[in-house]
Amino acid sequence: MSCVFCVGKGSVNGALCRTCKGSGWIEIGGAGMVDPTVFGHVDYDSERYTGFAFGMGIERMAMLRYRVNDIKLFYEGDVRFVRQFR
Amino acid sequence: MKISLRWLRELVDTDLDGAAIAKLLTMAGLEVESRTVFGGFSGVIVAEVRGKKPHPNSNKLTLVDVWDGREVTQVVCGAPNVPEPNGERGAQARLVLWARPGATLPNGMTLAPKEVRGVMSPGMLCAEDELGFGEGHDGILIFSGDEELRPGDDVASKLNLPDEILEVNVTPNRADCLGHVGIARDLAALLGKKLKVSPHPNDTAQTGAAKVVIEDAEGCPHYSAQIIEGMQVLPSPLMLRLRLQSLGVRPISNVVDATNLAWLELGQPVHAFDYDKLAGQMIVVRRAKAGETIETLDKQTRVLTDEDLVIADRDKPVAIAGVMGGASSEVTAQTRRVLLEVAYFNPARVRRTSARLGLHTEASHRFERGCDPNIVAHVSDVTTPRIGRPAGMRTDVYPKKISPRTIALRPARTESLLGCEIPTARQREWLSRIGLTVSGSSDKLDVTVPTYRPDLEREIDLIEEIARLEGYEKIPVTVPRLQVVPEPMESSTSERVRDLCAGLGLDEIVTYGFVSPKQIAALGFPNDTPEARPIRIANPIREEQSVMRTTLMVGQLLTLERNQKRGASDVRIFEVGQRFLPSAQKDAVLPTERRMLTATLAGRNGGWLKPGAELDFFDVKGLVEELLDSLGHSAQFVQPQDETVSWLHPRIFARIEIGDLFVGVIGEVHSRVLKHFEIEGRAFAFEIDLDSIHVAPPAVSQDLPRFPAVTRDLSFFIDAEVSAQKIRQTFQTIVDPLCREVRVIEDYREAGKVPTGKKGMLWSFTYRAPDRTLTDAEVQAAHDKLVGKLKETLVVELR
Ligand SMILES: [Zn+2]
Repeated sequence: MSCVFCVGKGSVNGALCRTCKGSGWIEIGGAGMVDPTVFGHVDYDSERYTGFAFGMGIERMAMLRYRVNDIKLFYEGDVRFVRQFR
Repeated sequence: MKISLRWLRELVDTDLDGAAIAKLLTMAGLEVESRTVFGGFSGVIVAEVRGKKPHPNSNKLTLVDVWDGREVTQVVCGAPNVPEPNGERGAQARLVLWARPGATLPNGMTLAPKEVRGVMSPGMLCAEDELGFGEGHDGILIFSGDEELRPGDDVASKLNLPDEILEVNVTPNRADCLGHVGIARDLAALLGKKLKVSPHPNDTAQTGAAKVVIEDAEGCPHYSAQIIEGMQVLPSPLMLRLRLQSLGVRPISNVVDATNLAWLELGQPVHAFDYDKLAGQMIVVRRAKAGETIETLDKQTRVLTDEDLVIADRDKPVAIAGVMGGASSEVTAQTRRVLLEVAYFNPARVRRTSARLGLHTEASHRFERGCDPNIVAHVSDVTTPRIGRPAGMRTDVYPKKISPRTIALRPARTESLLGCEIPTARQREWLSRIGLTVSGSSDKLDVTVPTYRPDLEREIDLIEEIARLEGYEKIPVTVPRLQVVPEPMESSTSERVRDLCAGLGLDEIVTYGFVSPKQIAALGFPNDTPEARPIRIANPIREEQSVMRTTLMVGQLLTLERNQKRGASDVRIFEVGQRFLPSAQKDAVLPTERRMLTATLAGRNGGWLKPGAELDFFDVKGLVEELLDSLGHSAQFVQPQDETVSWLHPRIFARIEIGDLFVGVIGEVHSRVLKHFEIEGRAFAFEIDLDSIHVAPPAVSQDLPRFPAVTRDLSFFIDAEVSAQKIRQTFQTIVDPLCREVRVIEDYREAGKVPTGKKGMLWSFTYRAPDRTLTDAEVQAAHDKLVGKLKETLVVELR
């Protein structure tokens, strides 16, 4: 989706946007058709069944919701960060 | 992969600008991560050095006479490498780049005439970093005149600068896109343009001048060697040097640069040996002998195994196949003849060797993803004249011919999978645009895939190509019908626990499931426990994250330490997550996973009861009681005499039990452990196995009591060692329906008031019946029973 920090512009105050690395877009998840080989492993007939799979990175969603600009913060457990979201 | 827009435009005719091309490629699965300008300057011209003399006021500066094709001008230069006007290399290398007044440089600076230590300088002679070509600032850029550039030429217009460099994130399946031609092929397909490359036939074997023996055809299905002579090892022409630099490759010499150009253009790594340094003037492609060594180009000595494929001469390995060349046959300024290797190596073998040696190169990156086995001759033929003259024919040994595969595609299947109509003719069109050959009828197409697309193996892969080129954004949107499934019980338990912990003032953290074996060891689990034997990850990225956690304490302690280092000393953290233990069953495939709640507290107590006081064991114990109570359980804390927990203080710890069930431990973290993790002060922790407790069902409402209750107190002395827990258990053995509540009112131990070794206790008992007011006699009878039981079980002195 469009980057929330630079509003899709790719830069903030003239500097390259750190969150989207200047592209104006941020990846929040992946999606696609299930590979027939995967169906084969679980004995589903891929001629009969197709699958659509999608998922969103939970950190990405939180970054958007709370305007967190560095994904590493979620895994550092710095209490000064964590306590902002009581 | 860095891609030059200028180069792409040489391969595909298009008027689109960089942004539009980047968008097209990105939408087709070749994500353009960034675009940067290369060579963004103006007013810089080619000039020839005609004379030089020292600066009168500085021994570091030189006054250089430069000729711009019409007149000679004097420029002050601070570089140590101003070429000699009549030096040994003469006109071969005395061209420089002169930024005249009015010139604009990539950093935005516009030049004006400037006095340098008392001498006017009209502009300056440029080093490569000043023009944004590279990092080099050791001296000015010097080049020779045997190319298109003449004094007076405007550099930017002559070299078609500025260029734009696209950083393309090529997914591992797209080996064909690790060169400009591959990306250009997709771009041409998207635009419906022709790719401007000459087609070449599939390779065949032939015997030429070089002697090549393949002993391991599984590792090397195809090897070609061309001997090249009539060459001089020199710097490449400026245009080629800049092309390499714009793509992040350092120019070395015309020979090395030509080999780099091959992978940049066609994605095919190429290696040049000094032919005269090959013992026996021959090439043997074979497995290394175990323990055999080679000094690679990076001057490291590498020990090989018999799994590794090497290129050897008569006596010894001269290259690790597909990974890196050897130092002994490196091309130098003295090299007179080159043996040019272009080959196809088994991707899996290259991957294994590269991973084992930790040696990841541009060559291994391409070989392990899969190059085109049938482009070998073509690459050799285009690279050879860039280096010198062929000496005899190319030798091609091709013991394991790899042919294009043919895949059946049902156009109707494409439509049903993608959920939209794409006419058969259009499907054929997309596939032929990326170089596939399509024949057959409209209910089944036969698609022949060239060997540069090893990723296309099945019908589904062809459908993906069609979807990608057609554009995922063109597939119509429909909302699927979904079935709602209730949340599984175990995830709701975790949610409850998280909310409760947060409500109790703890901060939630999330740490990694992969940890360091050293940190697990630091917790000191006895060797025979599963905690001491974490499961190792098959391909760890680094040793610090090479095993799966058998306890969440590692993450807790690392987080505590990090917080302390950053100045936050009052830390109350918890994590809910899995731990992974080796299965107790011998033949089990999967490890045992347990959901744990683990918390660590350090620093001062945050409560209002005793603000600022240091935390103690009872604060943490109170927290656990509160938590389990909220889940509908009453916790018991048992301090076994003959048992310890390796990472907890040997006395300040307890087992947490619910009824007969052991659910966790609590205590002060052992000072030895704290020291290992560099933690200051004391820390308390508990861990509870959430999979072993269940959340009690919701309470069932009871009628409010309609009849009054009667309270009786009981005061006694008892051994100070006997815990309240123990006494309570005694009362609980008598189940009297009239007794509704048992509470401790007082626990006093002041000397003088209490016999030595004893404590005084005051307990309160509440009696009530749901259907009547109790008589004194009824209450007395029930109370006597309890007191009797107490006296019978424990040594008490009633008061
Ligand atoms: Zn942005």
